[in-house]
Amino acid sequence: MSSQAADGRVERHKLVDRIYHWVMAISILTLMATAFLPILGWKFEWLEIHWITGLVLTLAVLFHIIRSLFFQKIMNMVPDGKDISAPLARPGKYSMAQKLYHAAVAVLILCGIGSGLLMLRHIDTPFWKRDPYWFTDHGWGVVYSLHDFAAMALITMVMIHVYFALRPDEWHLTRSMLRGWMTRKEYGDHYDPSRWKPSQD
Amino acid sequence: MELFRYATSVYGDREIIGGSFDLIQYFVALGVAVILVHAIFKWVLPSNNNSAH
Repeated sequence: MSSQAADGRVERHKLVDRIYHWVMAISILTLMATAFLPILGWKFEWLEIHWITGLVLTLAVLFHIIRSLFFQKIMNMVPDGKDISAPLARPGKYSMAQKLYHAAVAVLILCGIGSGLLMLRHIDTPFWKRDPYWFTDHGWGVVYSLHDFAAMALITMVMIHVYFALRPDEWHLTRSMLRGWMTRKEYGDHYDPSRWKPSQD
Repeated sequence: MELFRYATSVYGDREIIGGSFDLIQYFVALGVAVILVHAIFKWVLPSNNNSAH
């Protein structure tokens, strides 16, 4: 479907990007459930599901980084002068709030992934036997603390994200992450055409 | 309120082993607070279609 379809729709997210988003979302929710439900009292064998899902998330994020850097316009997600001088004006593809949110979540997820990959060395996997001496006790404490705080902060971020996704005034965005498009009217109402031209994404 | 979890190593040292899960409630509360502030802000102020969100 072209970005300027005659049926009054504007393409916002290609299929591959929507698939990435939902793989990431399901991975994050699975990781959070396997992390926190046992802490809250629901005991089950969580560790294997957790680290395997962590590897799925790692691969998905790696895909996203490569795609966004080399196949998309990375500057769409970077605050520009107009975002700073007029943060509430009609934005480009992403608003200032969305850009800041993305930056915060990216830092937290990368922190969780980085520390999580190091923590793989602390458990038995099909690839290796655990090595508890890879770090000192203090070193493991730092790694686990980074992982724990990133995970808890992601609770806050996921709550905020789901709230915005469910707001009726944001349904055009939620639909665009499911179907890939928004109406031309929604595009005209919410975005500055000089800052985001879908045909040039 | 502790920020970290601790354990005693085989050498008798008190070591950090991770973040304190007692903090989960504060992260949930922060999420609720942001949601409430935004919801009230949007309800009180008149809507403006010519702006972001």
